[in-house]
Formats: sequence, structure tokens, C-alpha cells
Amino acid sequence: MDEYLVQVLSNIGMISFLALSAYILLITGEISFGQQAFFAIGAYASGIATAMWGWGFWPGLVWGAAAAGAAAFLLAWPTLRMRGLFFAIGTLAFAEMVRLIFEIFRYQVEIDGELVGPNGSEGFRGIRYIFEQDISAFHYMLLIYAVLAGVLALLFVIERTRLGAIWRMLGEDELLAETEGVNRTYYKVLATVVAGAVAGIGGALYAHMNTYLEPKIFNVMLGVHSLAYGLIGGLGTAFGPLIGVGIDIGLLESARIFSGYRMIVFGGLVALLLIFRPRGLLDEAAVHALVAWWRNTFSSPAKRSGGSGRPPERPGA
Amino acid sequence: MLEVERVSRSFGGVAALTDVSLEVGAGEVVGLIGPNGSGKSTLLNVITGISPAERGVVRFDGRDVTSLRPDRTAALGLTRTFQTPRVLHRMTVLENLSAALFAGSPKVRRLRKADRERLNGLLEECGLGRRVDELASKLTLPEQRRLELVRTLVSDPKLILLDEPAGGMTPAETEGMARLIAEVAARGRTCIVIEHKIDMISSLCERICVLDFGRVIADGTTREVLEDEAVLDAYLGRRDIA
Amino acid sequence: MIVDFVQNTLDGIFVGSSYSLLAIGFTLIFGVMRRLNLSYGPSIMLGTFAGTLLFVEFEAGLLAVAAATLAGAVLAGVYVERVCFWAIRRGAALASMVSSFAIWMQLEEIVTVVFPDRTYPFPPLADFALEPGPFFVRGDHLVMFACAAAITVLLHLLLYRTRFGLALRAVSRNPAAAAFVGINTGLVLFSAFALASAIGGVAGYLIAAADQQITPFFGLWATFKGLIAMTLGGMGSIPGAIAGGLLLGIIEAHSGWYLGTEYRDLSAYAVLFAFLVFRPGGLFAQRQTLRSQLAARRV
Repeated sequence: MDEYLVQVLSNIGMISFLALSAYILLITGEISFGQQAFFAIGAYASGIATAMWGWGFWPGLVWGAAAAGAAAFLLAWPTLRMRGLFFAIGTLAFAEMVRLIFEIFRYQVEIDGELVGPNGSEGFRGIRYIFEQDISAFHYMLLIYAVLAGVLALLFVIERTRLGAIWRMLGEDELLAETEGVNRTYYKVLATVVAGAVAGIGGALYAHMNTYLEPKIFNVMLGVHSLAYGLIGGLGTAFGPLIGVGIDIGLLESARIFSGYRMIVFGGLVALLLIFRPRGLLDEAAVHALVAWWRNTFSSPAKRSGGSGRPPERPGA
Repeated sequence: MLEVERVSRSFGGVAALTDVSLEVGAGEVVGLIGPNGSGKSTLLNVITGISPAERGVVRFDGRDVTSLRPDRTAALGLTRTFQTPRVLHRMTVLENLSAALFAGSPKVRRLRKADRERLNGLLEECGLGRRVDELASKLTLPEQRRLELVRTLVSDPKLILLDEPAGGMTPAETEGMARLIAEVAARGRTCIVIEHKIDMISSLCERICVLDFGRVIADGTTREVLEDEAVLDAYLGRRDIA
Repeated sequence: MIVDFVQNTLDGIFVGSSYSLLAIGFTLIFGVMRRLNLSYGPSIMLGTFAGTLLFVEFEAGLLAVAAATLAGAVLAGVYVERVCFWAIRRGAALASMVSSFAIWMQLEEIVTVVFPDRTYPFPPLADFALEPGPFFVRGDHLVMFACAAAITVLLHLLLYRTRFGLALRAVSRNPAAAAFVGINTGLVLFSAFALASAIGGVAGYLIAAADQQITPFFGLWATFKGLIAMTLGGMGSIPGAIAGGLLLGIIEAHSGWYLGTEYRDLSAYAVLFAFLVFRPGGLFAQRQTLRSQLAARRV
């Protein structure tokens, strides 16, 4: 496979975690400008684990996700009372704080006569686990997609069961959800933690592919992009954000015809979509229509009430 | 079952409820009437905990629920509909019910075949059988009101609060809704019904409570209340009722 | 010691007055529309580049540069209003906010395509300094402070002494009721947006003249400083915008001096976050902000 293509696909895969993270909060009705903070925390935590503590890749990945989830848990409480715009600004302030803390965060140890570890705004060099284990870029790309498939599968299970239905209920009408018996605090905090952990996984994968972390790449632009992906691709299914990532990174950033004009096209596209399809290409109505079409075409009437002929992307229920 | 004791609630200095007391026994169907702005919906909000009482006590099943949040009162078996129907427009009719089932019963993790059949049955009974897989945003107002009524039944509640279940309906639709509520009541459920349509109230309820300017001005059997001078003055006299 | 403290506070107030200027336009849009315009800074940035174009290419005078800056900011603002606010239904506050971010990306890219050199010179306005006693005050900062004060007074007169102001306040309180009594709400919103952009243009001109240079990064900077200052003061409140801007300036000056420059922005965000948690209405909490919180709950 072409090296450039592998890199583009790897990027799409990693950013997808961030887009899914923003998507989880979007379906619960919150707009976060700060998911990049959890991406950064996952990246730093897993990088520290493998490069400085000598951990393996998988423990490092889990540790990165756990650290991001824990940070999200801490953020969830003070932001619980913030609504709408206030939540957006609050998460923005939090993420910028995290980035600025990484700008001054120094923690280095000497390994083989060389200082390794986060060095403030100089960044964090030498996360070389993948390189040392001789894993090729192509194999690492497959690994990214395997993890992504796992997270997607988990999200599809969530969406088909209790948790997903309640998240979407909260996202559409909080008051109704509460009068029907939903404990808002519990489910909002849970959504924030899951979203944080998903972003953390993406960050961990990113750290090991790049081998070098710089605080300034975890800026608000990254966060708002990941938010926009869900709004472009659609909030009806977890495939939506992936479509958004594909359109932006796959089409606009990588296709060289748009070079220099990518943001003009991307910005215009998002603005137009928000006018004509405010919940994205694959919004709930589109997913519903697709499901109905699928069922009419591929499953016999007898199966209908049994639900066995349903495709996996069915939301809620 | 429900005891509301000298409850008061005000909004920015305007008293919406003053010393309101109301008792509802198990199996009763009580009509709650009064002119617009008399505090009927506020009373429902106080009972369910959406805007808790500032003074007074609300007891449900012998338990003090005055300052419980709405999700806690729901867990105790209180459920309601809204004056402007609240349905989840981005979900199908069936998904609306399954969401309510999940919300009301913490033990249900996923929708099993039996659950699905039960929900389908409920929808069938209230005439929404053909709309099961329709997006709720496509429903007409009477259909949305019927969906709300079915939704209250999903988690097997002890007390159902209905806020103008026939609001904005034609006489024929109103009659259909009255029949549905009567069926619900016939199964021994306790209900409080807010409604302006006196015909419907008098056919459904043995007892009526009348609110005016946030105070209870009458509470008694349907016949007594509908002949009460104060009620006629406050409410019936001012409105041309069918 | 005490001299440092006073000098820092002075610096903070004067730098803060530029934040106040940015926050006034920001808060005007929020106050009337109950929506956030993230493209506010980038529109101003586009204006300053229009000004610098005249300066670099045609060696235009101060007035022409100022006029071009203002015109550019208003034009960009009007574009943002049409795409992100007028075209998106009322009440979809979050959709407008994300859309305004998308347009931000566009404006920034347009500027970098037309002006590939990143940094451009901008003509200074008041290149002098005062030294009362041990203290040091820059002339352009004084001008900025005076302009912030003047704009506040003028805006107050406009809002409370004119028919347009009355219509504007009516629309901001209750758009539906305003429409019923015959106010052309669309036109009022449009004018308010244009007015806010013009104020932003003034702010952009003064800040660029003080810095004597301009980069595309200015858009992000202006949006963030304006947003923080507005939130500290209380979204939608004009006195709040002034106070919030000055507070932000003072916090930055002191934290930069006592903790080190790397803590400057960190302290500002920490204070912003603390305000959002403990006092979401800001210094000048308004009752409407609560309502707007409720209004903003749905995408």
C-alpha cells in the first residue's frame, strides 16, 4: 500500500475517535468544544507509560483511556449545571487550561543516557514503542482500525440498548426524560466519562504513531473540527461522524486540488449543512428511512416483529 | 394515595398556588378544572417535583415527596402528560415507548421480544397500531396526545396525571380520548385529569376539584361541584361551554 | 513593590480596555440575538487586513485605513449574519454557533490565500507615551481607553434615547411580541449585527494600530479575548463587557508578572471557568441570561 495512503487512512482512523467522542455528547444534547483535552490526556498518559515506565502498548492504551475518562469524570461535575452555550464555553476553557498546563508540564527521566518525557512547550519526544517493536505503518493502521471497530461495536450495542435510548431521550427533551424517571446527573456524567475515554484511546494511538507530542496541536481547532464531523456526517448513527471525518480528511485535506482552499470549502460545507440539514447527512430521519427501506427489501414480513432482520445501525430501541 | 397539604408556590412574587389541599384515594378519577392561569398545571408541576412547593407538603403513598426531583417521583409510580405534548420527535412511536420503559424500569437492559409485543399491544389498543414505526414528528396532535397517554402506562404507574388530554381536539377525537381514559380508569388506575371540556370531565370523573386564582374553591362530587354557585361564577359563567 | 503593583494594574486596565472594546460588540450581538458569534474576531481580522492592504499597496492615510478596516469588518459581519444567523431558524443557538465557527475557518483561509506573508505592518495612530511619576502609559492605550468610554456612552444613548434603541431592546426581550407590534425584527437584528461589527472594526483598528502589525492569528485572539471578557462581565450586558474586559486585563497583567508569562492565559481561563461554575451570570448578572440558558438547551 502507498505510504501516503496509509498515513491518510491512519489519520482518519485516529481522528474518528475524537469525532465519536464529540458525537456521544452531541446525542445527549451537549456541544463540547473541549474533547481535544481528553485526546491530549490520553496521548500523554499512554506515552508516559510506554516510553518512561516501560509498559507494553496495550496496558498503555488502557491507561491512556482511563486517565482521560478520569479527567472527564472530574470535569463532569462542575459542568453539570452549565447548559447550552455555557457548557460549550466551559469545556472550551477547560480544554485550553489542559493545553496550557501541558505547555508547562515537565516530567523527564534519563533512559539510555537520554532525557525522555514531557518537556513543557518543547513537547514530548521519543514515544518509540511502535518503532522499537518493528511494527510497520501498515500494520499499525490495521491496529487502529481494529480498535476503532471495537469501539464502534460497543457504541452500536449501547445504542440498541437501555443506555443509548436514555442518552438520546436526554438529548431531545431533558425535562421529559426526568419526569419519566431518568436520573439526569448519572447519565450525563456517564456520557462525559465514556466520551472522554473514547477520545483518550484516540490520543493514545496518536501518540504512538507520531512518536512526538506538542501541546499546541491539541488546540481548540482540533476540538471544533471533531464536533463538526458529527454535524456533517449526521447524528442518527455512529457512522455519521466517521463520514464527516472521511469527507474532511479523506477528501479535502488529502485531495490536492483543494490544497490552500480546504478551509474555504470545509467551512462553507458545514455552514450549508447547518442550514439545510441541521443534524447532518445521516440524521435520525434519514437513518429511519434507510432502516425501513432495508427491512422492506431484505426481510420477510414474518421477521418484522421479531426484529432479527434489522441492520446494526438502528438507533435507540 | 396522594395527599397535597396546604401547598403554596409563587413565581417572581405572583402567587400561582395558595394553600392548596387535595386528597386522592386509590382508584379515584378526579377532575381538576379552573380558568386559564388558575394554577392547574402548576399543581401538577408541584406534585411531580418539576417546581417543588415553597410551603406545604405533598405525600404520595404515605411518603413525603415534597422536595423530590421528578425522576424520584417517577420511580415511586407517578407519571404524567403535558399540556403541550412532549414526544421525542426524532424517534419512532415504538422507540418513544421503549425509551419510557427504560427510563421507568431500571432493570430492563434491552428490549426483549415480550416487551416489544407488550408495547405493540398498548399501541394497538389506543389506535396507534399502524403508526408503530413512524417517526413521532409525523404524528398529528391527537395522535401525539394518545402516544403520551400510552406512554404513561408503560411503566405500570400508581398515579397518572393528565394535563388537558383532549386539548385542541375535535368533538369526535375528544370522545375517543375520553373512551381511552375511561378504559384506563376501568382497570383501577388512579388518575387526575385537567380539562376544560366539562362534558368529558363529568362523564369520566365522580369527583371534581376547582381551582381559581391558585386557590381551591370547590371540591366534591361532580354533581355538587357543577351546581356550585362559586364555581359557576368563577368558571362556567364566564365561558361558553359545550 | 507597590510601584510594580500599580504599574501592572495600570497596564492591565489599558490592555483591558481593548478587551472591553471587543467585548462590547460581542455582547451586543449576544444580547439581541441570544446567540454567540464566534466569527466575530475573524470578521474584524478581515477588516484590519483590508486596512493594511490600503496602507501597504497605496500608502493610504490614517483615515482611509480606518475607513477600510471598518468597512471590511462590517462587510464580513454582514456575511456572517446572513449565513449563520438569518438563514438558521431562531432558537437554534448552538447551530448558529457552530456555523459561525465554520465561517471563521473560511474567513481565515481567505485572508491567508490573499495575504500569504502572515505578518503585515499597520500604521500607528498615537505613537507617544506619558510618564506621570514612576509610571508609564502608552498613548495608543490612552486612546483605546477613551474610545471604549466614548462608545459605551454613545451606545447607551442609542439604546435608551432613540426609536431604534427601543426597537432593539424590544426585539431582544421578546422577538415575537416585538414582531406583533409591527417591528421589523429581521431588519433590527441585521442593523444590530452591522453596528456590532462596526464597533468591532473600531476595536480592531485601534488594537492593530497599537501593535503596528497584523497577522491572521488576530481573529482567534480577538474572539477569545472578547468571549472571555463578555462572559466574565455577564453575557449580554454592556457595562458587564467593560468591566469584564478590564478585569481580564488586570488578571493577565498580574498573573503574568507574579507567576510568569506561561501562567498568563492559564489564569485567565481558570478565572473564566470559575465564573462559569460559581457565577454564570458574570459580574453584572442579568435575569435574562437564565432564560437564555434555557433557550439554548436545544440544538
